[in-house]
Order: sequence, then structure tokens, then C-alpha cells
Amino acid sequence: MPVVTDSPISDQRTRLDAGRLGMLLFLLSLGMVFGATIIAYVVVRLQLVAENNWKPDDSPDFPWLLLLSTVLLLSSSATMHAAVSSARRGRPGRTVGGWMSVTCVLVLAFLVSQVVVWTDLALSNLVFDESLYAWMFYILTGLHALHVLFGLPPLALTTRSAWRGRYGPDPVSRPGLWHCSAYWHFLDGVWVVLFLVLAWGTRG
Amino acid sequence: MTTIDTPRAGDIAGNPPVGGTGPVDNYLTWTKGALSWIFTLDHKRIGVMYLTGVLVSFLVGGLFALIVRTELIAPGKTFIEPETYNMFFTLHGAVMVFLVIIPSIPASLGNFVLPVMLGAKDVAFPRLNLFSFHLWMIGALFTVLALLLGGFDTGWTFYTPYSTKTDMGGVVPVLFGVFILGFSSIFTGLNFIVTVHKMRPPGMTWFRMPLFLWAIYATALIQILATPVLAITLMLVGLERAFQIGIFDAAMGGDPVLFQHFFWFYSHPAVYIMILPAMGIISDLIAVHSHRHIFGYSFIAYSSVAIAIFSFLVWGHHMFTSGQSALLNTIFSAITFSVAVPSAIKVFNWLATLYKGSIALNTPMLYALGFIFLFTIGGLTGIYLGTLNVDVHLHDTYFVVAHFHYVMMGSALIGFIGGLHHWWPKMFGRMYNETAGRIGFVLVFIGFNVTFFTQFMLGSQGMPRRYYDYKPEFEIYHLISTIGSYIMAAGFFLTAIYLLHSLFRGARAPANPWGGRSLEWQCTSPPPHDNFKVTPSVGDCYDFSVVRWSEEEHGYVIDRSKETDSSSGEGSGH
Repeated sequence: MPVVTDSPISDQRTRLDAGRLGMLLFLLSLGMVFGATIIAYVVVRLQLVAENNWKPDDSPDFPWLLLLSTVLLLSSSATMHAAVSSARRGRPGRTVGGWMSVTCVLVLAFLVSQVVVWTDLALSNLVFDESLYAWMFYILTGLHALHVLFGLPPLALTTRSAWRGRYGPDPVSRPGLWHCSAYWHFLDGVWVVLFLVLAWGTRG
Repeated sequence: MTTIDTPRAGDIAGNPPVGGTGPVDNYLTWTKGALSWIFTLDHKRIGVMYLTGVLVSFLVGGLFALIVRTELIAPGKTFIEPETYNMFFTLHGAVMVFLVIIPSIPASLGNFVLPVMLGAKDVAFPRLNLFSFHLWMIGALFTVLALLLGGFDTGWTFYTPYSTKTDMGGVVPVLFGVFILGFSSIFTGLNFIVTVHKMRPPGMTWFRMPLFLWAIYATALIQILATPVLAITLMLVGLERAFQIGIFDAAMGGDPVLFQHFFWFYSHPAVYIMILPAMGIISDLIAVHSHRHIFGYSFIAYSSVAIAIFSFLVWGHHMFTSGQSALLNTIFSAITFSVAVPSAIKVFNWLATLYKGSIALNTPMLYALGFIFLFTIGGLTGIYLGTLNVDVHLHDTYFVVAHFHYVMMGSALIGFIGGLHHWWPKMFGRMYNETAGRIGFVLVFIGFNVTFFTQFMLGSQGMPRRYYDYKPEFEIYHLISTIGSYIMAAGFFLTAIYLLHSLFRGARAPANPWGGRSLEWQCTSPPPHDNFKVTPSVGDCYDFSVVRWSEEEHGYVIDRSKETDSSSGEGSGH
């Protein structure tokens, strides 16, 4: 199927490579955002711990519900990979689309789990204007959730295209799927780091 | 050395005017109507729109500067209140940095020239490129909105706690505006990196690229790696202002110096986002206008990348007096010195290129020579400031102001204006008045030095920067400095007039008015919509032995008979 494009690159393979390189650079840039935020978290925590002023007495510990979030997000990465590899093997649109739909559900479940965690913490005295301990937690998880949220519309569009059987064995036929999965694996990796940092950071 | 046919004395490109309407197919007349510009995917039109935006911002930022200088002409109140003065120096800095210098070369000239230099039809992602421009416009509108909502007086650096405490209404809009401008910059950088990687024409290996492309490439790397940090920093300041989080507030357990670390982690590399492309332009201007092969090509190329890498390791030298540990200060000071090495490599290579060249003192070349002079002063005074014990005395004085104006304006902006004059005939197909151009340069150059060299003296005698009032002993220096700024303004005013005049009355530009060898001089002026019908093959873009003056064209032509041997061979060139 001919693809209508504004690209000045006439060779399809080169165009695909250009798109992928662009995506990788974009993720590198996003990585700097998360990296800087994590460094801010670490610096603030180290300074406040040194002043013995980090964690207010009545504030809750690490919310272990985040483990569930981690499982959900890791699974969504796995199902995303399953969608890509079934497309690569030339499976029909309903298989690829099915995996993508499962991914969508897992991602939505992840967002729900985040909202539950935030609500729980807000109800258990970890309110915004109390301390940096609370703020830094909300900023870190919120920034990540925001990026998951931004990823939803492309995810939905890709799922629709998958059901319609757009994605075949030829990589040229599925740049959208590639971009979507790259973004998702990236957010997944960032989450794992965030999870570890928060698990370390919320200790007293 | 290279000998080339040069025009007879007094005979310059495009003179006398060639009649007719110029090339029928060109990007300016390709389609008509405002919408065909606003939503164009043509990198040349996007470049021209950026150029317009940048030049308008330059006018506005320049007027702010004149207001500041006029207020400082004598001690005490001259004509505005202290609060208004604070707002104007802030506006001057913010507009000049974020709306003028950062987008000046990469976004405007880069957009226009980069794909043509590569013999390509466009950048790799034309739609993303248009999106970058729209983001830039939105960011600029937010800056205007910030003005309407009461302005802001935080200094362009938005240092906390001023930026979180001041009650001026424009702070949040301008933070948001700069946040958006940052995205524009990131996407432009991303686009250029991919374009350079994937769209070089046959025969153009990495080490056969024009040096301007190396510089743009190194700049783009900084843009995508440093700008995101600015984005998150500004977001945190916005949150802090809105909700009093306390992350930058020592009273609440936060740390104001953390803001400075974050800000300079972006803004020091941003200094190289500004200067690197200018260095790239100068490398090309020096070679083309002295008609001589660039000396030490690979050293210049590598030094661009080296500067990009160093740029991430020196931010702490802005904070020697902010309470950093002595160890950190020493480390940052030492790494700062090392930036001098790649910078000096470039300067020496430019000088070596000039040596025995057949130098044509065209207006772009005058700006290039001016750049070398001013950048040397700006760079050397940077070493004073990078020296820990000297900086303790000079920190936050006019010495710093003079230093960064020599680098940001005397170098980055002069490089931009040199490049603008170099590619103006290509962009609009018209020659400007060469005599007026030279007079304009002399005025700008003299005015600049009168304005800012005086400030080195002010600073070394202890005049602090940003102050509204000062002691009588500083008056003479401030007076001279202000007079200098008026001379400079006259020079830029003249430049604006002859450039605008050239659009309507200028002589038709030949395809190659200066004797350039890179691909943009091989398509018509202005270029056709698709740049090149077929992707051209390229050889050594600094081999000027095949370039000769043509009486019929009133410009230079490339002698195809001599070209064959130079463009053969697929090796890495040097």
C-alpha cells in the first residue's frame, strides 16, 4: 500500500531509519527530563535527611501498591512486544490488535493504580503543602503518569490500525507500531528506576 | 595556494543589474497567499519566517537595551523609575537570549541553508519543522502576553527566590513561554541531527561536510540534551510559585542553589548553542571570501564536537560565589580553562586560512574578521572569569556584562549578521548595496567596542551589574558606553534600511556571488521550490581552484572541466 508522505526521503528503508533515529533522539531528550527530576529528588532528600527534616513523623511509608503498578506496566511492555513480534511473523490483524488491546487495558489499569496511590496518600496526611517529602513523591510519579497519559492517544490509534491489519512482516509497513513500542518500553524502564529511587527515598 | 580569477576592481557581483524577472521557478513565488506561508512545509519559507521573527525580536530587544543604556547615561534617575528599569534589563536579556540569539542561526539560517547544503529537498521531518516554528510563535506570543500582564523583573535567569517571590504578573506567562520555546529548540535540533545523518548526498562523507553543518550538528546535540533540563526547571519554578512547594526555598527545607545548578546545566550549554553555529558560519565565510581551502578542516570539525562535550561540564563556573564547595569550584575552574583549547584551535585555523588567501573584503567577510577580533577578546576575558580567585572580585560586575556581550553579541550575533549578509542574495535573489554594507559594519563594530570595552573598565573598578544608580566616578564610563550604543544603533538602523531597500531595488543576485563551492551556490538565487532536480554529487566543498569569475553571469561559476578529478574518490577526504 503506498504511503502518502511529506518526507523528502524517497527511499523507504532510509525513511524508516530516519524516523527511528528521530524517535531515539526524542527519548534521549525525555530521558534528560526524568534524569534531572530524579537528581532533584536525590539532592533534596540527601540535604533534608542531613538536616533530619525529610520525613514528617506521621507520614506514611512507601506505598506497596506501587508494586502492583510495576507489575501492570511491565506486563504492558510484554504484551506490546507480543504485538510487535506477532506483526513481524505476519499474524492476522486480530492477533496484533488483540495484543494491543490488552496493552491498552494494562496501561489504563496502571493509571488507575496511580490515582489510587495518590488518593490513599492524600487521605493519610501526606497532603501537598505539608512537606517536600510529599511534593517530591507527587512530582516524580506525576511527571511519569503525565507522559503515560500523553502516550494514550497514539496508543489508541496504533491499536485501531493493528485491528485493521495495517502492520505486516515488512518493517516499512509498521513504523507507527515501532514508535509506539519504543515509547512504551522507555516509559517502562523509567518507571523501574523511579520505583527503586522512591523505595530508597521514602525510607526515614 | 589557490589562485583564482577575480573580478576587476570595482566590479562586484550582480553589478550592473541583470534585467528580467529572475528565475521563474523559485520558492518565494511557488504559491501565493499568507496561508501558503504559515502552513508551508518548505524549509526555506520556514527559515524566512523564523528570520522575520528573529529580526523583529532583535529590534524590540535592541530598543529595550537603548532604554537601559539611556537610563544609565547619568547617575540617579534619568527618565524611568527603578522598577521599570529592572523590568527593561530583564526584558532585554530574555528577548535577546530566548527569542533572538538561540533561534537566530540554527532556526533561521540553518533551516534555510542546511538542506540546500546537503543537496536535499527538505529537512528529514518537514511537518515537525513547521510544528517547531508554530511552537516558537506561541512561545513568543506568551512573552508578549507576559509584557501585557505587567512584565517581569527577575533577570533573564529567573533566579530563585526573586522569581518565586516577585509580584509582577508576567512571570508565569514568560516561564511558560520559554518552556514552549524550549520544545521548539529541541525539535529543531532533533530534525537537524536526523537530516545530517540520513540525507547527505552521494560523495559527502562526514569529513566532506561544510563546517557550518558540523557546527549545526554539534549545536543540535546540545539542544536535545540540555534543553529538557530547562523545561523541568521552569516547570518546578512555576509549581513553586503557584503552590509554595519549597523545593527552592531554604526556609522550607529546599535549596535555592539547586535552581542555579539546574538553570546553568542548561544555560551554560545554551551559551554554546549560541556561539557554535556562529563559529560554523565564520569557518565557511573565511574560506569562501578568501577563496582558499579551509586550514585544518578536521581540527575545526572535531573542536565543535569537543566544545559541545565540554559545555556540559562547566556550568558551575557561574556559581563560584554561590556557596559551592571549594573542591567543586576548583574542578569547574579547571574544566572551564580547557574550553579555551578547542576555541583557540578554531581561531588559529581561521587565521591560517586567511594567510596568503585572496581576500575579498565583502560585507560578510568584514563581519567574519570582526568576529575573530571580538571573539578573541570575549574568549580571553572568559579565562579571567574562569579563574577562581579573579572571579571572586569580578563576579556580578560589569566585567561579566562586557565579557558575555563580547561573546553573545560580538561573536554569536555578529556571526549571524555576517551569515545573513552571506546568504541574503541566495535567500531573496537580490544584492544589497555593498558600500552601505561596509559602512554599516564599521558603525556596528566601532559602536560595539565603545559600548562594551568601556564596561570592562567599569567592572574591573567595581561597578556592579544591574544597578540602577551608581557613584559619580563611574559616570564618564557610563556616558561613553551609552554613546557607543547609539553608534551601534545607527549602524543596525542603516543595515535594516539597505537590506529592506535591496528587496525592492537591489541588483539581481547571480547564483554564486561570492565564489562559494558548497551546494547552496549551485542552485539559482533564490532557489527553486525543490532545491535540486536531481540529487547532486559533491566533492571537496573547500576546493576553490575550480571556481572562476564569469563576466556574463556577473558572478562566479564552477568550471566543470576542472571539477572531475576533485570530486572523484570516496575516501574521507582529509
